[in-house]
Amino acid sequence: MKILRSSVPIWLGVFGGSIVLLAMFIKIPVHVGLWSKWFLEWRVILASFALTLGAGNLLRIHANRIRMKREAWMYSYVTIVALIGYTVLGILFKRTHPVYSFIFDNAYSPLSATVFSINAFYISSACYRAFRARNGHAAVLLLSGVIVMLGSVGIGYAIWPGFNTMTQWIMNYPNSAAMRGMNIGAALGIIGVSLRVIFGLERGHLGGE
Amino acid sequence: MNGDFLTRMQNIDRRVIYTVVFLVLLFPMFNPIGLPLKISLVTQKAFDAVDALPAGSLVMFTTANAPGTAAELEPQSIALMRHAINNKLRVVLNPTAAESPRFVDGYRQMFLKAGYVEGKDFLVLPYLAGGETLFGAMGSDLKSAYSMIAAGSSALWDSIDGMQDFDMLADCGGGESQLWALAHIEAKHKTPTICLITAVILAVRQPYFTSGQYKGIVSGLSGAAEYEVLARVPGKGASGMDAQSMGHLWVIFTILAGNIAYFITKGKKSSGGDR
Repeated sequence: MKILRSSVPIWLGVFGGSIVLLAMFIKIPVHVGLWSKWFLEWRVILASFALTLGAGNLLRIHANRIRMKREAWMYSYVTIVALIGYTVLGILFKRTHPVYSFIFDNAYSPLSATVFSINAFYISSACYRAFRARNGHAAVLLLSGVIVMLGSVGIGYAIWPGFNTMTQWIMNYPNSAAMRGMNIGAALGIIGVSLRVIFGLERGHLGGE
Repeated sequence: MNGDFLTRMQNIDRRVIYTVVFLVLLFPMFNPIGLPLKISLVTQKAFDAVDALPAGSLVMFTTANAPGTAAELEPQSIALMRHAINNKLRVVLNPTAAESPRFVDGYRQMFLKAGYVEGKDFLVLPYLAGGETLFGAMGSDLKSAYSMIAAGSSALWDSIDGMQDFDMLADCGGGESQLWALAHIEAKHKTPTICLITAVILAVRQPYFTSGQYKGIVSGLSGAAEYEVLARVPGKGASGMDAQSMGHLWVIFTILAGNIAYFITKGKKSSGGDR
């Protein structure tokens, strides 16, 4: 069974990863290119199964919470009823059904938008308490932030049109330069980890062996 | 100024700050101020790229719009759809997030109301999971990725061989999808690409605009408002800009007030405290 648990997944990773990688960068024989295309298509299908797996896992976790009467366990009933009920509704009546649309537009959408918009309140409070010019670096960061905020909205332009020009300069030069450095660093890290997975050196995804 | 007052001011109850934020955002919604709007370079370039497409050009609109980001992305998307309709562009709508098909239904209605014929002038693709792999599959072989669409079911779909047939890709979302569009479609097929994003990720996407990989970026509610002005399609973007301006002004005020209080109390402490 050890072969099934470790060797087979490693060799699948080596085989699939190498072919997709080669097909991306090198002109390779037609049949190898076709394998790469198949792997990509299979991955899309697997992702759909992963959604089902995620839903099953969510159900299992919340069923356990209810059974063991953990803190706030009663809310798990809401999660389970919403998950099963809305899925059944979607499967039976499709997303154009008035009841499906009503729940999406009047429950899910406002709740989701509310969670996102609460950021405005948190940011405002955090800026007031934490955004201090304690040293030179913090002062530069604070000044850039204020200029970009003013240069991004009409009131900044009304106060002084130069805020807009300064914002574009900050975004195009210092910001782009710093972000490029970070992106290149992150990309090199991703390449390193990906190659380790493809060569079978990284085994964390197999359960930490 | 009294030291106790300044210390109290630095530790002001967050509920007071929240209430002021609420009132500051609420006021301009009922009493529009009419602040000026300066068109940013990224939005101007995005508009120019779409506007330069001749009638009948084929555009793919991939959208990961979801309720959480819809306040910013929906006005942008609607402005772009209306611009596409005015310029008689053919559009393939492609939802790439689980919540997006509901929004795409709305755009579908816009096209139908404008006299577009589904399957001939525009097309709605089904939602497929997969994220980056979906973009990889689309860049590799679009027709195989959407093999569930039967041949002969749509004249527009039958006329497309792959992503190389598209004159533009417009990707909308608040996540990573714009990068996948660049890596798997723009880089491979040289498809002119614009993106519609939430304001908070503009700083991360800007380098790809300065490098020329994105032809333009529509960012946040301000980007939506600017696009509406450029395309002459009034919408929700412009009407929300006064509230956003006031919100920004309030945040700047809180930063300044917090720093003033901090430096005064710090100065008093270093000079022996408040006597």
